[in-house]
Amino acid sequence: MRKLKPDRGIQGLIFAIFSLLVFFLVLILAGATPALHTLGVIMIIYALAFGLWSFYKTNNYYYLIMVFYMFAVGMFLLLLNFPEDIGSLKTKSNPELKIALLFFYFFAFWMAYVGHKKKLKYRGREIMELAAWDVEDGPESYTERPRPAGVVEYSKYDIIDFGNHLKKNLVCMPFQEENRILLVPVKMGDEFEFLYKPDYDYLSKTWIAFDFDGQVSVHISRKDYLNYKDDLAFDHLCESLGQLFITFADFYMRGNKVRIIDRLNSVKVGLFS
Amino acid sequence: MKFEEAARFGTYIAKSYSKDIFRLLNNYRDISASEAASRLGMHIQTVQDFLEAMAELNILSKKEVTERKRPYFRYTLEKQKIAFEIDLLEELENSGENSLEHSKIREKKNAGVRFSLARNGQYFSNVAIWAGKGRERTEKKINLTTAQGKFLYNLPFPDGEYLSLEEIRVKATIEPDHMPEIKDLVEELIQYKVIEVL
Repeated sequence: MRKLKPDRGIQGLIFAIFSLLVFFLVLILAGATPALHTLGVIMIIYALAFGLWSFYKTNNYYYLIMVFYMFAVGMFLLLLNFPEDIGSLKTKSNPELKIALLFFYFFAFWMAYVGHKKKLKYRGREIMELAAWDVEDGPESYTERPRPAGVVEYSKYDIIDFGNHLKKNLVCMPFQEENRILLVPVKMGDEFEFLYKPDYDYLSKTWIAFDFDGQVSVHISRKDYLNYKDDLAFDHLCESLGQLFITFADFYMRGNKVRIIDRLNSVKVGLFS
Repeated sequence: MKFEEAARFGTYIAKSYSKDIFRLLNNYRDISASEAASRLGMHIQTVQDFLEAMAELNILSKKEVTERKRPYFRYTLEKQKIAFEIDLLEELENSGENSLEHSKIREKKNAGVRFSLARNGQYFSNVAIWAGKGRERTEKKINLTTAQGKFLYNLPFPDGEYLSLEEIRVKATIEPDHMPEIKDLVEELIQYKVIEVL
């Protein structure tokens, strides 16, 4: 049974809604072709500002597919001259338009596969669900304090590699400090803050810290705790989150990286939540 | 001498008139407060308080007498030499040390406290406690030693299992030498209702 409240955030749709508003505004003011060209420019800007920037921040190569896809859509819309007679669109289409359309189909199918495999999904929600899996309801006992959750025996560089692997798969975003790495699970909709806020305050978020002596600590933010439907036993929840990441680290170190994703996929969560 | 007795004795002996009263006590076999006050030109209550305090510290003895008027006390010097010795090690032990030794503790629910992490993130550097309500609310900040910070970092959560100080010390890998400072902090936090005791 799900422990988290349903995700009704529309943060992920804001850009799409904005683009459609601009499209319809230009459509009313200037006609179909300028509206499609405007939408094409917006798509290219998104490809660069969102896709490339996300790739830079996460090292997730699937973002490049998204960039190419959005770029192909943008180019297609820019090359499209919408005729008065919609039936003549096919006969008037130029070779560049056909190439752009070909790229669009190619990347659209690839994007569909990427979407199906959840390769571009931030996994914060799955993590919080998995952490709460066995945790019973309890009296509201939240505390801001981090909780020691266990000890691992990995080298500093193993821990850094583990953090980078989780980042690449959008499981967590690692932040390296002097003596430790903090892994911050990011939920869909919260990624914009991580991507674009210059002074992103990761310490106030939910995090799992692996210090280079092997100590593992957990901090759950009040916002994330209140996102559960019921008050859960907080001590148990923190312990469970810590154990989850110790298990992930164990999978990673033994070469069973795919088990991490399998475990996350066992939580059936929608692509956009 | 107990610390509190020594503190009381010190307070009285530091008075400008103490030597004069002791001189009178040495010269007279016994003396009443009113006789001493009139002899020294002091208020009777001042002398009375001094003599009573010395009597309670067993430096003087007092005897109740009645001479046609209401009863009063006559004081006699009992000690020619006063040894002023305090065993700090014994005296300055934390007051609840023995009871804490066997107690189990954890963080209190809704303690209204903020723990700040040290730079390396491996222990707390200070605790900010809010006391009072509304506009009267004040913040008390306690800067922690490394041992205290590590101890609090490992303190059980409000719904966690109670642990003894020793168990937490071992979990936090703190040397036993640091226990007095930890007990001192724990006592303080119990008073501020940040820590609860089983």
